Amino acid sequence: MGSFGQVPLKDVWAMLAECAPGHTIKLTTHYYRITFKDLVYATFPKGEHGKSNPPIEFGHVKRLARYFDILDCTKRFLSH
Amino acid sequence: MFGNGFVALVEFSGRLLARQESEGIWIDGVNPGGFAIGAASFHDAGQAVRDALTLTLIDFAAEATTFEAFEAEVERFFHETDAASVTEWTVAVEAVRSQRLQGPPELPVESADAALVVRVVCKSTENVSAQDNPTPEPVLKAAA
Repeated sequence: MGSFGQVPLKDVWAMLAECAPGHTIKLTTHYYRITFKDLVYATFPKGEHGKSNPPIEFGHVKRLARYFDILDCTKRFLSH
Repeated sequence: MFGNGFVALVEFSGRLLARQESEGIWIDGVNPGGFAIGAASFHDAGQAVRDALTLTLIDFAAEATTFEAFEAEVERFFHETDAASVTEWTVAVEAVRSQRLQGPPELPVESADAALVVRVVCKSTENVSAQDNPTPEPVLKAAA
């Protein structure tokens, strides 16, 4: 999938539950702040305002996954 | 940036990886590493990078109760990255230098050996000046 392809936000949360056990998610004013192990990803997009399960560009998910070193698990999970 | 009881000047000179895809330009952060944006063109990407970093700093300022806490968070954000992205950036620079890869011609060129810089300065009415105003410098440059 290219970076501009889209993934539902709920699928991202499910992926993190599988691939990044122990992670935390905090909603800030402009982004989601996601922590895993000692790493902080402070700029995960909230998606389109007003949508309960907004689409997120896959590039953001890939960047997060690479940052957390969970890219292989992420690709496996999202390809199902 | 305005924080809770402080004013701070923040400057970044970092590293990004840009890819041309069929839908536009995708940019992944290297320093700062926890960061990505997509845009239709390099012109739009420059503005998107500036906007995203500004919103990130606003979030940090909202959470920080002191200048020192804000400074620590900005420095952590800038320096935290992953080894795979650093390696990819280094390989891309080598490809540009060996002319196997051409940087985008619309961007100014800067040496890839330029130092990474994150500067967070506490400002007050005593040490603020007109020179602290942002200047319209290009946000993106092509590393070479």
